[in-house]
This record gives sequence, C-alpha cells and structure tokens, in this order.
Amino acid sequence: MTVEALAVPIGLAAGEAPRSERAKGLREDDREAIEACRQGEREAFDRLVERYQRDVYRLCYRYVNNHQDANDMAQEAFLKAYRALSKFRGDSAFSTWLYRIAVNTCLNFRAARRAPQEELSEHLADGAAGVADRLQADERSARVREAVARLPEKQRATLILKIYHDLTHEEVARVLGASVGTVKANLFHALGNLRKLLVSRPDHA
Amino acid sequence: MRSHLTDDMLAEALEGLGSPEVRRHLSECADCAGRLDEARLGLELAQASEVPEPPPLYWEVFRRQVGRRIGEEAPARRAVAFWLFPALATLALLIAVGFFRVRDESETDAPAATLPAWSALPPADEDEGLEVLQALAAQGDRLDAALPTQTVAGDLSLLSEEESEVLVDALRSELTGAGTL
Repeated sequence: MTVEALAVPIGLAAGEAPRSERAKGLREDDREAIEACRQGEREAFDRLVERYQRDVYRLCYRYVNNHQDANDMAQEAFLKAYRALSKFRGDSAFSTWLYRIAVNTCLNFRAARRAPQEELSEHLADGAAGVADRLQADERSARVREAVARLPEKQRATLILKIYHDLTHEEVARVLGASVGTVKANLFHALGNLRKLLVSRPDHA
Repeated sequence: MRSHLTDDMLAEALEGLGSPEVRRHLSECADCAGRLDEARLGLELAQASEVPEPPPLYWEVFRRQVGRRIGEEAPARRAVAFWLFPALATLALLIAVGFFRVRDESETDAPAATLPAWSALPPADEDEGLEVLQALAAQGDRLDAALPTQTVAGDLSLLSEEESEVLVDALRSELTGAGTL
C-alpha cells in the first residue's frame, strides 16, 4: 500500500453544508438573532429556523429514516432550542448546540420506538434490477440509510455528525459529551460495521 | 511499531492524518492495512447515501409550523397562573368521582343487548322493490368507474393550513410576476 493511498479525506454527502461555509465559533448573525430572541423578539428565532432547518431536518432524517418522523423530530428540536435559549452560553457554534438538542431528541424518540428499528426490512433485499439509474441510486441510498440506522447508538451518532454534517472530531466530541479519542474509535468501528452490513448483500459487492 | 494500530490511529490514517510511523506500519502490516481498507469501503458506501429532498414549499411550511407552535406555547405559558392549580385539582377529582359512579351504574343496571326477532323489511324473495334497487346500484357503479378517482380539489383539501397559506402566497407571487414557481 502506498502512502498516497492512505490520504482519503472524509468528505460530505451531496446537499449538505461544506465546512468552509460554517464558522467554528458563534456566528455574528446567530449572536444577533439569539440576543434579539432573548429580548422578546420572537421573529428573530424565525431567522435561526430558516438558517438551520435543512441541517436539522437531515440530521433527524439520518436517525429516524423517514420524512414524517424527521419532520416531527426537527420541529421538536427547534422548540426545545427556543425554550432553552436562555441557557445557551455562546461558547460554541449555535449549530453545534442545536445538533446536540436534535441528537438527544432523536435518541429519545428511537428509545421509545426501539422494536421496529431492529431489523432491516426484507423488501430492500429484493434489488432493483431493470429500473432506471435514479431509482437504483435511491434504492442504494435507502439501503445505506437503513444500515446506518442499525449501527449502535454512539457509532451512528458519530458517523452522522462526522460524515454527513462535517463536524470536526472535537465538535462531535462536544455534541456527544465524549473524548476525541472515543469519537475517532467510534467512527472507525462505524465505518467497518457499515461495510459489513452492506457488502454482505449481493449487489453491493 | 510492533503492535497493531489502535482504532483512533486508523481513523486518523483514514483522513490522511497519520504520522510517518503509522504510514510505515500500514505499508508493512497486512492486518492493519486490511482494517483500513474495510473502513474506507464503509466510508465510500456512507458517502453514496443522500437524504431525499422534500418538495420546495416544505421549508416554508416547516418554518411557519415551528413559528405557530412557539406562538401557541408562549401565551399558554403566560396564561397558566398558580392560583388555577387548586381549582384544576378539584375539577379533576370531581370528574374522577363522576366517572366511577357512572361506571358502577352501567355495570350493575344495564340490560344485556338483545337481537330483534322481527324485521320491518320483507324477505328478499317477496320484495318487489329489490330488483329496481339492484339495477340502480349497478348503474351507480358504472358512473363511479367513469369518474376520475383523484381531483385537484381533492388534493387541495388534503393540504394543512400552513401548506394552503404557502401555496396561496406562492400563487400570488406568481401572478404578480415575482414568483419562482
């Protein structure tokens, strides 16, 4: 194995915000909106919702794997954030704090609904031979999302935040309340397990 | 480096951040290189997955729904006064007492349901109007089959209040030439 072959950067899935667009600290426009909210200007929270609704929705979707529940969880996360806004100290990005709320909301939801999530649905194993490329891509995406949903809680949370939301190891550690070393190890296990879950299926080899 | 790499070392190597020592180990140790390849394949699979994009109007509806829920919550929180708690507790007690009394009465006094032995309708073989009704029913089935099963009006009636508002706003923008539809 060559040294060059090792340098595979962990990138983003399509449609999700690149790291360069996100400030690592508290964004100035977030700070202004939060301050306005605290002074009773409810419309200022609307701006925060508009700014982060896509990221929060996608984060929730990765957890619950369907639109309706993702919608409910994302709304719930914003409501909790609104209620807890006075407790936000501003020592991290607002998005990091919001992600933490969203992750906890999804974890509570999944804990209450554990049984239906335990097995991958059998119809996904049927394959999509003969359908258009787009449908095959959708099918593959759905299969990966189902496999991600089967990972152990900490591995899944780490993978979602690191791969799909492009957080640094340090940010993931802050969101999940874990050490950076644990985050790295969980990510590595998550990726290995994902491969095992998916490559055992014939059309993913 | 004799022993195998730890998981966090391999995670760093996956991102191209491994030290020269780690890289050297990977070039010599088939076990660690194999584990790294497994994770790399997992990463490729993970990156191939997208979340389905909701319809364009969804985000506007979402934002309004959150705003509405916050709006509903804020006055409700202000309106709940502590002096109401004793009154609410008394009301709950009265309802509970009433419920148990009604339940006791219904368990003791209610007669068992009986089926009527007599029917107002004549037997089928004696009913002269039955043939006419059956013919009308068959005609109704043909009419139903000829009509479309789904209409625009039917679709619109399924929209929530927020979705209707967003649709009206979008159509209004479109009519005034400022729309994006």
